[in-house]
This record gives sequence, structure tokens and C-alpha cells, in this order.
Amino acid sequence: MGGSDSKFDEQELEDYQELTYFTKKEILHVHKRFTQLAPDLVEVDKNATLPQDKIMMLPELRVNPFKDRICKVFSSSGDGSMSFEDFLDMMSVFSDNAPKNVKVEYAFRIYDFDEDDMISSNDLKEVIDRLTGEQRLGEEDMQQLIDNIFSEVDLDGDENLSYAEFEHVMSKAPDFTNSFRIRL
Amino acid sequence: MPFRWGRNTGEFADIQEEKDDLYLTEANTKKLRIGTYAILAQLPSRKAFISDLGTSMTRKMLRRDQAKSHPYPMKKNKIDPRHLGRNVDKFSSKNNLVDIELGDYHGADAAMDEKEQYHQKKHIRDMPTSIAMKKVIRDRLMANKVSTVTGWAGWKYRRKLAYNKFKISAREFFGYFEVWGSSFKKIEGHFGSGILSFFTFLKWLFFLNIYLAVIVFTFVTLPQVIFNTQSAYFTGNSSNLDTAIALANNCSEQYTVNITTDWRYLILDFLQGTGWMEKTVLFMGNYTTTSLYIGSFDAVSYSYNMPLAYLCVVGAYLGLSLLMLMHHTGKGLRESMVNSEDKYFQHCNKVFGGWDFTLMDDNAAELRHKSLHFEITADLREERDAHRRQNRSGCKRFGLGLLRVFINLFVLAVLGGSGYLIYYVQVKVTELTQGLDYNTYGTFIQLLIQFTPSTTITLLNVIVPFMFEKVVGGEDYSPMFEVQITLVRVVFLKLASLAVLIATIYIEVTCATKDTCNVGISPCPSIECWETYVGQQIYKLVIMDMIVVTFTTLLIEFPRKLIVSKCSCGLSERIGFQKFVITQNVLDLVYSQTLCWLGGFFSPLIPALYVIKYFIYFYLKKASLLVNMEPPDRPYRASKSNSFFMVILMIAFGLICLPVGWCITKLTPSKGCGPFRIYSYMIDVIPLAISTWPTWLQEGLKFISSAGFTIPAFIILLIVIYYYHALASARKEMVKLMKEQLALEGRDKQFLLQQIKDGDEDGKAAEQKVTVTKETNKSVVSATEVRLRKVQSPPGVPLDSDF
Repeated sequence: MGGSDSKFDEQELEDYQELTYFTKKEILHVHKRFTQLAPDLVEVDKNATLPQDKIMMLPELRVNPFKDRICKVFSSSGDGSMSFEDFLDMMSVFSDNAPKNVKVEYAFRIYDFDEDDMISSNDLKEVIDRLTGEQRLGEEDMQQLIDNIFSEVDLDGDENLSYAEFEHVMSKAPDFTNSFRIRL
Repeated sequence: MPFRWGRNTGEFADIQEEKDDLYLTEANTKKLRIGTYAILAQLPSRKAFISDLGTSMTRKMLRRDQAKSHPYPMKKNKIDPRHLGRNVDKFSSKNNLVDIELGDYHGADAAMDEKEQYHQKKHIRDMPTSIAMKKVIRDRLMANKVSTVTGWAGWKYRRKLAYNKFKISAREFFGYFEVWGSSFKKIEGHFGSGILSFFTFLKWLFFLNIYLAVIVFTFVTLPQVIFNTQSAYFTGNSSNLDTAIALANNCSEQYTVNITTDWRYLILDFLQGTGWMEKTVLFMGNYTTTSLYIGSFDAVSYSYNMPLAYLCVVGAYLGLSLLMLMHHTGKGLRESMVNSEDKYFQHCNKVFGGWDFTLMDDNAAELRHKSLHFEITADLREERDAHRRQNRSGCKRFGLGLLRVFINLFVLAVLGGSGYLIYYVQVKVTELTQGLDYNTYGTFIQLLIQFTPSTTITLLNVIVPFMFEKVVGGEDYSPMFEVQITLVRVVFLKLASLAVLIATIYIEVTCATKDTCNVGISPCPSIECWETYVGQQIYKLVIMDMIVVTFTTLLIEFPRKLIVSKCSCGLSERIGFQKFVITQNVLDLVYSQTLCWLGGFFSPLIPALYVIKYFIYFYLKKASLLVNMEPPDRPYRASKSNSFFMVILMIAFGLICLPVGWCITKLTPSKGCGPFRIYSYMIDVIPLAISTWPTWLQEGLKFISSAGFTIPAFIILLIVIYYYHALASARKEMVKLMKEQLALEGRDKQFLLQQIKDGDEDGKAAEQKVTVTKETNKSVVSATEVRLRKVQSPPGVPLDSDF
């Protein structure tokens, strides 16, 4: 609270409260964290657009293997740079109060590397590679895993995960809500 | 790419142009796929989401509302994708762009009313677009004229608005009181959300105990402490309790406790609950059986019925625990009910839900990568092994079956042995403390003797699970089943040890030979106030628990960490860092909470004690976790085990209600102490109290508890349960059918796509053929013409070609 109160007027806070899953106090807290990323830029313009590498320095995102995808998906200009509103949107989706279907929607976009509204086997390969970090899976293991996933989930047999199939799986994945969560 | 949707609306490719483009390029595989996508992009289910920004809020909203309104609501609302500009400014209301008819999908030109506008406004939040876009859409929505809602619906709507506002301000208010928020963040960042679930559970128990302690304190302890206790026994309207009253007076005087002021004995008494502790409000024996009065005895202003209050408080705190348990379990069970086929999705769950977004620490992230890799490879290997397990030969299978039977017998034997050990120790200790030369022993020896039963139980709780873990390896189950069965066995151990302890104390207390004051004469142990005695036993268990946890943290885990990190000898390699084993810790919590519920009846301040205990426990465990330990090999999947632990807690709660209920209804209270001195059973106070109420109330209660009411109510309940069960199985069938239908539809789609592609290719080939033929024809024609002209025209005239 404190000094940053003067940056936003009541109407703006009310707007943000309506359009995100945060309360006013939480919104101000998010702005405080946003300011900490690049104080000089945000002093000038409270809705400043920060470049991607500054956003990726946020402690909560720093070690995330999907951080570049997250920045890209939530950025309104499409190149990874985020304004405060984008940042607020991102934190709102990752907050505990966002409903599961919104999270599933954004998770789908994050995992869809080539952005064609489908998760193909190439996308899957990329996801698995990023998950395992430096120690990669062997060719045979990778293929077996991809085959397993498709056999579990691909209902129409087109070797691609459409959004409907992804949602169907994620609605039954018990750990998804617990792990797809960032608290500031 | 044919199209992109969502936030960067500027890059909507012109689909028509792209399609034409593709036909002119070479047909390689990639382009063919893009061709398929181009076709797929035309599907209504895809287009609707892209183009109807205003109406299709989310994909889910779309499906739900489609069902309500008429089949193709989208037609009227199409926005031409080409008109969507890159900058959001283009959407500002003052320019000449498209008209988003927001109300349309509810049916023709129905004017929107307030409630629907509010309903739609709420859904804007769920739209997966940027905030700026949402603002624009909301402004468009609010710009419509709306009619106000009147009458009953209007009143409900306004109440709903007020309630939502209240919810938000309540959330902000309680945000100030969030306990341990930063600690949670730290634990999450280093170890992930799996291990956080343990601490969340601890926090839930902490709050449960706070509520219990507050209830007990306000209604039982506080009156006892501050009101005057004049001797006016509560007898209701009956007059045949006079002999009992006389006896109680007599025996109360006989009940004496030696209070020594020797400092060693003071500490001893504190640890054991004897001596000066026995005379405090900690134990049930010290609560009076009288009605308490405010003011002096003569000017009777208000009487507080202590025995009734005591029983009601016990009922209240058991009821509150049950409610909170059910609420918490219900949430978890609902999830796991849906996940009944989760073993079919385990790979997806591992890949898509594998990375924990809450991690913040480099080290933790690296470990998580390693453990994910390990888990994936291990599971893949195990899948290949499963074939091996299935293809075991008959002879091997028989051998394995025999081994499993043997191991199970061994487990049962160990459980039985532990039970007998506990019984033996408890009886021996009681014998010793009642013996004549007990007071000649030194204080330290006395302490050891008193604490032997608790120590035995604690030692068993450490050694036996370790044995079980080693033994289960020989049974050759799948890893997941191994963990589950070890868990079940450990649960049996803990519950069994508690059950044996209770049974032993029961035998001691209900020994047959007693004198007039209900105190045992030898060979029965002479326990003067059995309620306090039971309270003391449980109190000792609680203290022991606390001591053991502190001891293990400080003197075992910390040195282990020091050894492993500082000394680089073979020993440290062998031991390795300690891993935080969630299952054991959660079971410990379940066990201690069970003790709390049991002990709360005999010793009203135990919930308060537990609040302090959990508070210290939290910080101790957190410090130990962050300093001494590292994350487990396999990332812990919280959800699967959470519902299991809640179920165990519920079962333990149910089991606890049995001894408490038995106590209240079947055991004779002590005559010299406690709030129920003059009654022959504790529950007698309730009929006595009811007899002082107005007649109509008494009649009503009598009816409700009679068979005429309960049996029909029970039958109705059974019918309702059966109805819901039938509904659930019908829905399950439906789900299965729909899945099959989906699969078939998918195959249809593939087939049709293939047809379209073939059709297009044929068309393309035909076109090319026609062009070629045309060209050949043209060249043939021109060649013929040239020859003709050569023939016809006179020499020297130049050929004029008009092609």
C-alpha cells in the first residue's frame, strides 16, 4: 500500500479488480513486484512495457523451463515484452483464485510451441526435453512416452492433441491445479 | 501459419489468400499438413472462437450456451477477421469498425436486462485475452441499454451484488490474518508443492484445534475458574439422588492428592500430570458437579449447569471436527472420484502436470529435472517389466504366492507382538506404581517407569515401519502398490497400538473389586479418580511425542546433515542426505490428532496444549526441512495420497467416538471427583435436564427419539442414497458411450479430410492437365494456322501472328 496508492486511482483499481481475480490490495502488491524488476522504467510510466529478459529475471519465473513461452503467450505484442497489464493478467491466471478452465486454456497455449492450436508430437518432444533438463531421454524412451501419451489421450486418432482432448485430460489430472500456480 | 488466435489479434492471416497461395507451391509433406490445417480452420468450432470475440467468452461458455440457444448462433455475429487490426486502439468505440451484437446468442433481439448483463460481465474475466481487450469488450457490453430487473428477481439480484461485494472485502480483511504465508512460499520454492501439502495439512489441524480450544475454554474452563462454586448439586426435578449426594460429599473429602514442593517433584509432576498438576483445571476430576452461580449464593441470579455444559461441549467439539473433516474430505474426494480412471492418464499427468511452477530455487529446479527424468525412465522401464511380471511361469508364481503369504503372516505376527508388548508394559507399570516401595525409588527412576508405556509405543512406531519397508521388497509388487501396502500396514500398527493402550486402561479401570467410593481394592489398582488417570496417561503420550520430535530433529537429523556435508568419507556416501518422507510425517500427525480427540474428553485443556504443540512443531519441521534435508527422489504427488490421509483421519475419528461414547453411557463415574459424581452414568444428566424443560418440548423430543420417527427417516435416507447411486452409475455409462462416439467422430473427420484433400488434388491435377492440354491445343492450332497461312499467303508477305 503506502506510496504506490497514489499511482492508481480508485476507478482503475476497481476496473482491474473486476477484470482479474485479484483484490485491490493484491493488485497493488503485484505492481510493487513489477516495479522492482525495472524501477527506473516504471517510475516514468506505471504501465511501462518491460523487455522479455527483465521479466524472466522475476524470481518466480527464473528457474521455470517454460519461462519464454509464458512471456510470449501473455505478451500482447507477441514478442515477449510485457506491460504491467500483461503482467497482472499473467499473475491473475496463475493465482489460486483463477478457475481451472482458464488455467487449462493458458497451459494449452504455453505447451503449444508452434502455435497452431494443436499439440503435435514435435511440441510434445519439446515439452519433454524441457522437463528433463540436462539429462535427455533416449530416443526409444521418448518415442515410447509419446506413443503412450497419444494412446491415452488422442481420441480421434490424428496424432495431435486438440484443445478438447487436452482439456479432457487436464480436468482429470489431480496435480495440475497444485502445480500450475505462482504466488507473488 | 494459417491463423493465430488470441492475444495478438493483429496477425490474423487472410485465410482465403493463404489457401490460394498453397496451391501454387510444391506439394511436400509439410505443406500438405498446412493444407489440412487450412481446411480445419474453416470448421465452425474453430472459427467461432476466433471471430466471435464478443460472444464466445471461452470455449466452455460457448458450448454451454450453444445448448441453450438455437443451433447456429454464430451466423449473425461474425466479425471479418481481416478487419481486426493489430492495435487495440482500433477497437475504440469511435471508429467505424464492426458491430458486436452481444445479446444475440440469447435469441433474436431480446433486450438485455441487468441480470444478464451482470452475468455476461462476470464471464469477461474468464476470457483468455489481454486486459486491454477485455476492457474494450466490457465497455461495449455496458454501452447497451439495459432494463432494470424488478420484483422478486430484482431483489435476489441486488442481494447477490451486495453479497459479492461483501465476499471481496472479507477476502481482503482475512488476507491480513494469513498465517505462515511467507514460510509456505519458502518451502514451496525449495521443495515444491508436494511437500507443501504436509504443511497445509498441519495448518488445517492447527486451526481445527484453535476452534476446539476456544469452545472448550469458553464453556467449560472459564466458568469453572471465575464463578462461585456453591454446593448445589444439579438434580433436575428428581428427588432420589439424595443418597448419591451424601456419598459424593463423603468421597470427595477422601480424595486427596499429595502436593509436594520439592522442585524435583514439581518438574516430575509437570511431566506426568500428577501432584500439583492433578489439581488444576487440566483434568476432568477438578470440575465440579454443581450448578455455578453468579453473585452470592443467596441472591441467585443465574445458574450454570456444569455437567450438562461439559457433555454439550464434548458433543460440540466432536461435531465441529466431523463437519470440518467432511468439508475438507469432500473437496478432495470429489477430485479423486472424477479421477477414478487416473491410472489411464498417468503419462499425461506426468508430462503436463510434471513441472511445479512454484519452484524458485536453482538447486531445487535442478533436482526436480533430475527426479522427473528418473521418474519417467523408471516408469517406462517398469512398464516393460510389467510384461515380465505377467509372463511369470506357473512354478515361479506359486513360489511367489507362498512367499507373500509367509510375509503377511510375519506382518500379522509383528503387529500382534507389538500389541502384547504394549499391554504387558502398561500392566507392569501400573503394578509398580501401586506397589509399596514405589516411593523409595529415586525421582529419575520414577520418571522412567511412568514413561515406559509411551516410550514403548514411540519406539515401536519407529522400528516396525522400517522393518515393513525392508520386508515388502521381497514381495515383488509394483512400486506404487508397495508404497500403498506399507502405508496400510503402518496405519494398522499405529491404530492397533492406540487400541491396545485404551483396552488396557479400560481393564484397569473396570476392575471388579471396588469399595463404596468406587476406588479399587487390591488386586485391582487403587485409582481414586479414573477420569483423571486416563487423562494423565494421554497427557504423558502427548508430552512424549513432543520430546521425541525435538530430540530427533536436534540430535539425529542435524548431526546427520553435518556429517554428510562436512565429512567426505564413505559413511556419508552410504547414509546420504535425509529425505523428507511425507507419508510417515502425515501419519504421525493423524496419530497425534487422534490422541487429541480422545484426550479432549478427559482433559479439557488438551486442545489448547495441541495448539501450542502444533505451533512449535511447524517451526521445528520447517527448520529441519530447510536446513537438514533435500527433496525426495520421486516428486511427491500430493493429490493421490491426500484423500487417503483424510480418509484415515476420518476412520480414526470414528473409532475414537466409540470409547468416548462408551465412557459416557456405560461407565460409572468416580464418586470423589469430576462433574458427574452423583450420577450413576454420565449420560443421566441429560434426561434430568430435559425434565426441567416445558412439557411441549419434552413431548416433542420424546417423539423424535422414538421408533415411530427414526425408522421412517432412516428408510427415506436409504432411498435418497440409492437414488444418487443410480444417477451416478447412469452418468458413468453415459460418459463411456460419449467417449466411444467421440472416437468414432474423430475417425469420420479424418476420413472426410482425406476425401477433401484427394478431391482437391484431383481437381488440381485436372486443372493442370487442362492447362497443358489447352497449351498443347493452342500450339497445335497455331502450328496448323501457320501452315495454313504459309499455304494461303503469297510469298513475301510477313506472317502476322496474333498470339
